[in-house]
Amino acid sequence: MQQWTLDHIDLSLATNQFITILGAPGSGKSTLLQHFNGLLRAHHGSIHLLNMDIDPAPAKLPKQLTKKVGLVFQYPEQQLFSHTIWDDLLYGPLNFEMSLQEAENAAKSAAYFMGLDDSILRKSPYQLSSGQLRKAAIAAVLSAQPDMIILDEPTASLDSSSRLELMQLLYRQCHEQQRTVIVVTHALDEVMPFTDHIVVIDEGKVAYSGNPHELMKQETIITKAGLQIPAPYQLYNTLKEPLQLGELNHYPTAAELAATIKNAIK
Amino acid sequence: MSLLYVNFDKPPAVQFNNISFSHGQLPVLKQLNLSIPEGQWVSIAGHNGSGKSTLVRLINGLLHAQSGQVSIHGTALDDTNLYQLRSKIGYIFASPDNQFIGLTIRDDIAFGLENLCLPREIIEERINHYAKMFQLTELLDRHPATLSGGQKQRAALAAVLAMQPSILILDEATSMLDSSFRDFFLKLITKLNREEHMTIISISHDIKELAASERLIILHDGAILADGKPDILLIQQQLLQACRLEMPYALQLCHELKKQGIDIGETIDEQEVQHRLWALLSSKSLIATKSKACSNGH
Amino acid sequence: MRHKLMLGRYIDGHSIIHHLDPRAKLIGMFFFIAAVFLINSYLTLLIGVVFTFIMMLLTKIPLSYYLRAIKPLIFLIAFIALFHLFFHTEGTRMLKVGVFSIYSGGLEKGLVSAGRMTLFIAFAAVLSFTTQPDRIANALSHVLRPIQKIGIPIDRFSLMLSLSLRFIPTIFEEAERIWKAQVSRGFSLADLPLKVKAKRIIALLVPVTSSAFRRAESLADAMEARNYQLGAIRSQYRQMIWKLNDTFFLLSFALPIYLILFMK
Repeated sequence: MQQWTLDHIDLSLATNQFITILGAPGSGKSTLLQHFNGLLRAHHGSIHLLNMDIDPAPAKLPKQLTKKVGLVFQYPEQQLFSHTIWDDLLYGPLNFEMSLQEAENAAKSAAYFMGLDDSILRKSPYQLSSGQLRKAAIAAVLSAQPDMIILDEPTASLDSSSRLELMQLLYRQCHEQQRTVIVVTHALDEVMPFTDHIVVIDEGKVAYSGNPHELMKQETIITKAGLQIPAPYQLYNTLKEPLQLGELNHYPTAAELAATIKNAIK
Repeated sequence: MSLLYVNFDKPPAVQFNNISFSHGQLPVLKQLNLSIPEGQWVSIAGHNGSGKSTLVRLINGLLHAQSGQVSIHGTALDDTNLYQLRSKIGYIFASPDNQFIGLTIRDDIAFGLENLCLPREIIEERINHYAKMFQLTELLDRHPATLSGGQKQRAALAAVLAMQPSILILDEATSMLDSSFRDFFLKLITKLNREEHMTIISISHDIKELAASERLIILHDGAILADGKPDILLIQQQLLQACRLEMPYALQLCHELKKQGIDIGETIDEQEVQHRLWALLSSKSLIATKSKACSNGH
Repeated sequence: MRHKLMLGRYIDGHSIIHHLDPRAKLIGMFFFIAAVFLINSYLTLLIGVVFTFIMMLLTKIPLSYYLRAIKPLIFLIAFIALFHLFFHTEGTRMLKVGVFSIYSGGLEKGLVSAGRMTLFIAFAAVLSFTTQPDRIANALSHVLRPIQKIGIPIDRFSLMLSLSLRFIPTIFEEAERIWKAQVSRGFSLADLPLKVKAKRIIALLVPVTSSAFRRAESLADAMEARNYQLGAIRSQYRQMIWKLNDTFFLLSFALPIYLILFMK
């Protein structure tokens, strides 16, 4: 019997949200995201995305789909190849037939958003640190001004400060720049402060799709997917009963939790 | 815990005397002095470019210092004894793929043992023993392109430990892998250090790994910024910043509680925070029965 | 892409040929090439065909696999046949097709040449289907070892060969990933003149090559860290044991070679 990598995936996602697709390595999540821009085609079923029918659909998908869905693969810095970072930022927009002026404006705004100043743009990829390279590679996808950006394990191999910084940038992309952001990851604790919606993929199936804070109450789904409940929620859960705390409907920052504890003790 | 497994009678496993290293014109390590006794588990943390990787590569001679001396188990490292001393030092790299040399796991484990000129029977024995230890027995004849990152990294551990080194260097060995691998890895290193008295030198930017070791060295711009117990160093904000490490949630909570007038001390361990909060709350009679507390999965 | 190339693939099995020492198979290949070289008539071709067929049967691999191995090269074989068919003018004239005449001599030469090519491919398939690539590489380095004495670094080439075998699938996979990433950035080679295509392909070549160099550096470190020394003495885990079957195998080439030589 053939094993499906993705088995009867039924998903409905709203735009302009920060969406997380969560799952252990091998769960099928990386395969799923390649369906968003037509790199992979579904064997059965239909996909409707950004007012376009992807599957079933013509054999050759319009280039416009590729432009609208910015896909950032794991270790995206591997795909940089131009003499300078600036040239690489222009690569995407020029391929998608933006005018040179449009392309330069888009590249500039993507670069500044990611915190890359002019001195970095003039350098070659071989002269940058790993953190800067990661940002440059993501900027190179943003410069094509996609409607949505999907990132596969964007924080892989980064130190914790760089990881937090990147998540904050992606959050701002979503809420300030009105772009749908989809992050595919297994690092639940990193995304919890930022995500509006979580989809859990387990063995090629959708185990959960909905509010992240509701998910925190479903320990079985999380452990079955090979993950752990993040520390803030664990701490909150152990204090809920004795302090008679209410349900959580947002990420409890340390300051908030401390204040909550203080209030409960009084 | 810390001093039980360390042997101070023998010469230090690794000793750096006034080591300086430059990459071209750029100085990387400046007059570094370091002594690691046998059986110690040391973590090394620091920002990118602080010299961590350079430091450990000087230990097994992958790099040669421009000045100063490296000694392994009391013997100064030089061109004549490089390979002999290197045979006692195992090195695990960050990339599971780029340290997988053989065409199959079996060949990969055999590779190092062939370099040590071990006879075929011993090689066969060690392959079977270490494959079993890392649950790789069914995977022995698979090509690395068919293996996951975690399986390849386990194969690297098997291949290096099969050479039976006395010193194990781990250069960000878990950075490209997920948290379940990290859990397995921590258990393994703890066992190697406690049961087999292996000297462990581990570069990491994972706070849990750093906290589990018995000694933490923080490098900054090529010099040692701090050297001591992890639970003392890791609660210091400036040191965390120097290593580009985010303050763990547990510690943040400790600081915020203090601002609120509740003092549970400072710790980076979540379990510890839970215990201290429970202790505090029960002392204020806010918790009905202690047994109920224990049933909440502690 | 990988899956279309049949020749060069290993097919697991337990036939007599599978269990032969790879050195015997390699040396046998040389003998075979010598024999094929001597074929120059229908009769000698027939001897070659019978011998090769027996070899193929002994591998217990279905004929369809061999046909698939030959298929990509069918144009080459046809070209060889047609070349001789139309340009050889010995023997009696059989047919006239426009300007060209087909002679019986040309027909024989054409069919025999095509036959030789086919036999060559078939035997190469026998070798590659029954012997894992790293064993072939190992056998090659053993057989060529005497050349080391005159200064040619066989151990270095043999290392290169085994590392290539190790990394080619990995690099292929990475190239595919990079291709996907670039396609997602709008990379396309469709409907472009050759010159432009060549320029555009830099987007693939640079990342893959850079990454290959980086790997090579890391690999060198990893090998050194495990005490590898170029040129130093090492023990050998994998052994090749020469058995009676291997000697018989090599001796078996004597018969067709003898027959081909003396049955012109």
